[in-house]
Amino acid sequence: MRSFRARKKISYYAANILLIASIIFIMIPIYWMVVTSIKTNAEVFKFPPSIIPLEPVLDSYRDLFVPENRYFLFFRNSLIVSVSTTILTVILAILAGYGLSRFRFKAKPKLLIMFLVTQMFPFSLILLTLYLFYSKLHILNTHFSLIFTLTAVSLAFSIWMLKNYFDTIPKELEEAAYIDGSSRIGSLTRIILPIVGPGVIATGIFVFITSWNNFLFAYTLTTSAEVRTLPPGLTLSYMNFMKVTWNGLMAASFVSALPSVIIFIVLQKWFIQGLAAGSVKG
Amino acid sequence: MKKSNGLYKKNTSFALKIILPAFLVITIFMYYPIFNSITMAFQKIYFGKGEFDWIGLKNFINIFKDPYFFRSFSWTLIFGLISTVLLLIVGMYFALLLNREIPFKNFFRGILLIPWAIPWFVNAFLWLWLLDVQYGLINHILVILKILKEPINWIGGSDTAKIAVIMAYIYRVFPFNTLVYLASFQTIDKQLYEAAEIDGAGKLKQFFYVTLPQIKNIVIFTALLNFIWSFQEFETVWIITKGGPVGATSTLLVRLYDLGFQNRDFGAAAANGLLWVIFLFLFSIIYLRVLFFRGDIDN
Repeated sequence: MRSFRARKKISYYAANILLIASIIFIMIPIYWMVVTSIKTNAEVFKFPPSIIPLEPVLDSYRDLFVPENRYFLFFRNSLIVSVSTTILTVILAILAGYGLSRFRFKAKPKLLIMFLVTQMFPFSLILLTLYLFYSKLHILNTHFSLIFTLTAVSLAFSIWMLKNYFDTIPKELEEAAYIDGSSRIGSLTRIILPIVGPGVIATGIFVFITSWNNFLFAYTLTTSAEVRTLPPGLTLSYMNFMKVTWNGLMAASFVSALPSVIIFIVLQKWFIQGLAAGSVKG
Repeated sequence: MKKSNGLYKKNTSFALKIILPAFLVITIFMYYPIFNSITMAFQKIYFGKGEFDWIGLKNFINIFKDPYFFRSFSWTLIFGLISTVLLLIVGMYFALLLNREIPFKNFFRGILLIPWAIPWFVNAFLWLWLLDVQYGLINHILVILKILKEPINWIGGSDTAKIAVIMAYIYRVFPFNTLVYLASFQTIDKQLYEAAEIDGAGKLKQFFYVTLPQIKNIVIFTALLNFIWSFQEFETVWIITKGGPVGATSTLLVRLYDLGFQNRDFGAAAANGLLWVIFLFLFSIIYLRVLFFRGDIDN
C-alpha cells in the first residue's frame, strides 16, 4: 500500500514538472516578442541573439507615438470597428438566438442550417462581390461597410452559441413572468438576459476578438490610412520595406495584443462558463 | 407541458420578427455574394471600369490547366487534416495536465490562454521573426542543440515553409481545444473513475476506456470545427509566406485572394471559389449530420 501511495506521489510531481516545463516552452515566443521590443536597433541584429537584453530601452514604444507612424490612428480605428461590430452582433444574436431557442415553427431547422452553413463559405469568394458592391455604393473604405461585413462574419456562430445557452434555461421561468403580464420583449430583457449574462459576455468576447483580429476583410476593404485598422495598418507600414524593423514591429504587436489579452484575463471566468454551457453539449 | 406548447406556438410571427434582422444581414452579406459569384464565374471582368464580357466556361477550363489549383487544393486539405490532428493531441495534452488537483490551477489556465488571446496577425508577425534566417530564435536554438548544422531558410523551402505555417497556426489555436476539453471533463461522472480504479485500471487505461468514450462527441465536434476553421485561415499564411515559395503554402483563401486582388481577375477567382463551394457543400453534409446527432438542430 505504501509503495502504491509513493508511486502516486511521484507521478503527481512528475506531471507537475511536465506541466511547468510545457508552459514555459509555450511562453518562449511571447517572451521573445517582449524582449525584442525593448532591444536597441543594433542589438536586434546581433549574432548570436542575446536572450536577456543587454541595454533595455523603451525607444520602440516611444516611436509608436510619433505621428508619422500613425499607430494610434490605426488603434483608434480598430477600437471603433470592433466595439461597434460587437454591439451590433450581440444584439442581433440575442434576438435571433432567443427566437430560435424558444419557439417552434416549420422553417426553424432550415433557418438554423442556413445560418450555420455560412461558417464554411470561403471568405475570399464573398469578398469579390462585396468589394464591387461597396465600390458601386461608394462605401468602400468606410468603417460602416467594414462593421456590417464583420457582423455577418461572426453572426452565425454567435447565434448558435446563444441559442444553445437559451436552451439551458427553463421555460417555466419566463412563463411565470409572461402570465404575470409582462410582454415578450419584457420577459426577454428583465428575466432572461440577467440569467444569460455569462453567455452574452462569452459571445461578446468572441465577436470582439474576431473583429479585432480580422485581417482579410480589413486589408481589402480599406484603402486609406485614415480608415485602416491595426492588422492592415501595421502590415503595410512596418513590412513595406526591404528590412523589417523588428523591435518596432514587436512593440507595436505587443500593444496591439493588450486589449484582447486584458479582456480575456479579466473576463476569463465568464468566458469559460459561457463556452462550457453554450458550445459543449454532450 | 401542454400549456407551454400552446403559449409558444402562438408566437411564431413574433419569433420570425426577431429573427428577421439577423436573417437580412446574413442574406445580404453572405448569400448574395455567393450567388452573385455564380454569374461572375462566367464573365471576364474589367477591374475598375465596371464592365464585363460573357465568356462562357473559359474560366472553368482554365482552372484545369492551372497547376496552382491542384497544389493549393491538396495543400488546403493536408493543412486542415494535419492541424486538426495536432490540435487534438496538443490540446488534449494540456487539458489532461491541467485537469488535476494542483495549486494555481486558474493561473496556469490563464497563462495557457494567452496564445489564443493575442491577435492572429500579431502571432504571424511573431513567428515571422522567430523563423528569421539570420537572427531568428528558432534557428539559433536548433543550432545550439545540434539539431541543425547551420541555420535554415524556413520560408525559402517548400517543406520547411509548410512546417512553419503549421507551427504558427497550432500555436495560436490549441488553447481553444484545451478549454473545450477541460469543460467537457466536468460533465463526466466521477463515479466512473472510482469504479475504474477499483477494477485496477491505471491512468492511461482510465483515459482510453472512461474519459475518451464519455467525451467522444465533443472531441468529434471540436475536430470538425478545427477542420472547418482551417479553411478560413488567411493571415498566418499571408504574413509568413505570402503563399510561397511557388504556391507551396497557398491555401484556398490565399489562392482566391491572389487571383482576385493580385491578378485582378475576379471571374477566374469566382470560378475557383465555386469549385470550392461545391466541395464544401458535400463536406457540410457531414458537418450537419454531427450537429443533428448532437441535438443542436431540432424542432
